[in-house]
Amino acid sequence: MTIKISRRHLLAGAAAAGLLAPFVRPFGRVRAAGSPGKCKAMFVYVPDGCIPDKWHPNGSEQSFQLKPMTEPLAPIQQHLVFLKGLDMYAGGATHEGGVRKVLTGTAPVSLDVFLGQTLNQTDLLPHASLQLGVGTNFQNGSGGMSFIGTEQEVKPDDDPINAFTRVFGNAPGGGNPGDDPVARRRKSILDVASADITRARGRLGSVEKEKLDVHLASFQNLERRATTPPPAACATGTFNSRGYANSPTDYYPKTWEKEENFQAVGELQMDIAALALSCKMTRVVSLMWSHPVSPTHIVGGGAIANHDSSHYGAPDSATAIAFVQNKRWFMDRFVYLIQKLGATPDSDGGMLLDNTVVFLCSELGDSNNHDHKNMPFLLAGQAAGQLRTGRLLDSSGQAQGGQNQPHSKLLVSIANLMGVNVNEYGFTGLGTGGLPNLV
Amino acid sequence: MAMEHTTSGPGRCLLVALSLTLAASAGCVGSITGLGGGDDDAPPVVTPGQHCDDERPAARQLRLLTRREYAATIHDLLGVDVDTASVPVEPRIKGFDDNAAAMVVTDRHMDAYLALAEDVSERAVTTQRASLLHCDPNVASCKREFVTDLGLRAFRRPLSDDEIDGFLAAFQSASFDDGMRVATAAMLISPNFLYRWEIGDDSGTLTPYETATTLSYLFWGTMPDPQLFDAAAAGELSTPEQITAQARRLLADPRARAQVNEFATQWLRTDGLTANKDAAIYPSFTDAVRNDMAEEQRRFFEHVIFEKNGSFQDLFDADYVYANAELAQFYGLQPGAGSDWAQVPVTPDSGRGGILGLGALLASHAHSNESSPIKRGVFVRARLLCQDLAPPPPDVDATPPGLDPTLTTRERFAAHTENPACSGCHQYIDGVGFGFEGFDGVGARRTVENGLPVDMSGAVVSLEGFDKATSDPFNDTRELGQMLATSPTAQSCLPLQYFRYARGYAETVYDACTINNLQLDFSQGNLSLQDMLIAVTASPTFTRRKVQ
Repeated sequence: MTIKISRRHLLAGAAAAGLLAPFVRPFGRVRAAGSPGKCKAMFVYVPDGCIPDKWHPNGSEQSFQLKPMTEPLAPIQQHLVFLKGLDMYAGGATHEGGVRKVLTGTAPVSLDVFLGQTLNQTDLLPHASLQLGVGTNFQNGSGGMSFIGTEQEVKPDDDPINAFTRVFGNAPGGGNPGDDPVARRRKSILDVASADITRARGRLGSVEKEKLDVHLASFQNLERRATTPPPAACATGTFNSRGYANSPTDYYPKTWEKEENFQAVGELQMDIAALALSCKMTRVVSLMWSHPVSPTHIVGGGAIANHDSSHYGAPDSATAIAFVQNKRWFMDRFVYLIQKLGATPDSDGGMLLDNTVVFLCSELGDSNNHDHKNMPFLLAGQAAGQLRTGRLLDSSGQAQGGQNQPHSKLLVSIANLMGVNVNEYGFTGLGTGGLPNLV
Repeated sequence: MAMEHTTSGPGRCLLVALSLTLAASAGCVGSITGLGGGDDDAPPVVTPGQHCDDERPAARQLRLLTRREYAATIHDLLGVDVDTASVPVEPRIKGFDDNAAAMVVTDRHMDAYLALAEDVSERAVTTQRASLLHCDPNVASCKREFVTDLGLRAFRRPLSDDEIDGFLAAFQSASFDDGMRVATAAMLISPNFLYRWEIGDDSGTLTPYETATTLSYLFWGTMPDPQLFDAAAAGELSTPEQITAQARRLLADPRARAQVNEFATQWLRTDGLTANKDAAIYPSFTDAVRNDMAEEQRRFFEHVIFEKNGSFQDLFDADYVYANAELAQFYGLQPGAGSDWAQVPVTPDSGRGGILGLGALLASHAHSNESSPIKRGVFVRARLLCQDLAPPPPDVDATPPGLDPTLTTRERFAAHTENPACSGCHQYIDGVGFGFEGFDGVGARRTVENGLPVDMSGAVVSLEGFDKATSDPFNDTRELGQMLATSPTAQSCLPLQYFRYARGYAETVYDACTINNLQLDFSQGNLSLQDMLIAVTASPTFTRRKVQ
């Protein structure tokens, strides 16, 4: 049989996943500069909010001073847009409500999943989007940030070896399986299974159609990966040069969930992200560090588990000091990521950081109050010539009625930077369109 | 998030508690039944205390196998073991891992399923060939026989002729064994294998094979056995009598014991037993002790439900615990004779005996470095009383009391009930949780904390519903257990929790009649636990699904 991805099927899957839901409206924007077609997106989550006075820089757009929690970002400051005065409106409260809406804006589907599936209707890359985690599924009772449908989470992969193998590993080179018996057999399996799915759809008709449409889209993505050569060469030779390995005797916690491996696993996941973006395995990667209400004791961070430290009480308490130390540790890792993107050549030309927009996010504003105000957000990367960085963008009181701007406008802007022309994403109670003055 | 939100799970409430967030009274109390909204049909009218005859069928569902079900099914189908670590974890809805609506096959699921199917089919054909193949490959009909036999067991129903022909394509231009591998792997990534189908016929009645499958996964967590297949083939799974007879057979089988313990683990959320604990504070809480606690729970439920055929009260008023020498020492009890597992008698002042004294429960509902009256209070409300509390509003300073060596935990947390901004919700939580203070963060008994005597007194405010202005005092967990054992609200909660688990969805208003009848059967039937486990299969809606 001819294995060719069907656009019609993909669209059916997209519709089933709520991707073409009414919240997406065409937006006839014409951009003056830049190349959104080259743009990649990363969504990086760090847990449990911040101490606002110790996070948000003070000063003007071009001249501002970092605070204790953001100070470690100084070496990459020229690549960042600090975002001040963004609130998350509507949706649920506290940690669980925050993580649910940080990438959805209260829409059913999260922006990482939406962008991946929308763009991949034409890009046809091996992976529409990748969801990676660092201990994200470990003792997580609060949920994640990626959703493929209402209440339907896309769980991040916490195991860097599995994630690497899945993206770069043993998939047979595409098109013609030739003499490789494993590849031949895999093609036969997929051919037989494909016909079976068609029959199953026939049996079910309209019953559970959305669920089976998601299933079919996942199957067709798998077929494409198994039979299509990757679009660019991936230089994976230096991956995991320190030799991290999963121990088969680590039953619980698994090796990748152990606190002593938190940094090593995180760096491997960031390496995978940079590799996958640079050689067009995908255009969208999300990375969650731990999860809301993070129980992680950060080796080299504060002496208190992250969430416990986030209830810092007074801003100068010992708990607050530990929270600052924990946050600075995460910012050091973010510097690693941005420098990695800056040093990785992109298959679209230039360096990866030139062609990427990175959204650093969390699920709370002030962790003491469990609020969703003045969120600790920032963007990084030049987004293929579209984003001016090295700035502080203060949106405090800029929305109607003197309210803070909704973060859903930022989500719109990120979609636009990726060339996806929507003018609303989720919450629209304070207007539509992108975040004013961002681009 | 609205209180009546059907999928705001107790896990969420637990974490709200864990975060020690204070909540104002407004918005704390909403629907306590957890019933969600639905479509335009008027919901059934239920008269409390009376059976109702308006049970409504639920939606047709494809239920994705959990990782646990997947591994058990592969084992029973092909005779090989499988590690499912590469399959994404299940979302927890109302605390349970089998919510059909929340479980979809993402890209990563599909990649994992293919990799597992290739591996499993290879090993199965290599090591289990004789048990999978019952014909001579040199005989032309053998392929069809193989596909027909394996397909019946993999899809848990007979294949259509079209389907058989489709899988026979696996044998084209391949050796016979390669054909077996390809056909097997293709079946293992099929929606017919990966989901339990609860679709039914044109009238919405589950087919006999679907009924067999639903029964099998409910009681064993795996595919049907030959007797269930035979009963389905013979059309002997149609009447409630036939179904409950099979349910009783399945429940009597040793395989049901692990499954019931799995339900208990999800109901009580004792999966938290694996959580990190501060080794400097709790040096004696070793991996061995954790394993012992899990074993204690398993043995306790096995005894109460299967050996004793016990009742709801037996879950609370046991005058014994199961322990080996190591756990007995950890608990400060005199071990039974020898070091092996044994029933060890306990006195009421030990706090042990019954589910509230289980180490697994106490350690799961606590912090890494201290006990948690809040987590334990919320646990009782959400899991044992089915009283889900709303998440706290924003803008409340959620700073917890810091560790203070001069105070007990109770003294540090007492501010909740004294501060009017907090007491609206915490009046329902803290008094319950304080009664657990005789146990530390890893479930060890304590009568002294920081050199101060531990106050184990507590009170349950509005036990039978947040609209009831009552306060029932108690001292220590045994008295709390007695109160819960005889509470109509607690007695009606367990059948609801089991309904959620058995049916794979969070209830809606349309399930009110079914749930009412299950609760009434339980309370009028001497609170027999085995009967409750069976009753869900006798419900008219067990085999009925809504036709769109």
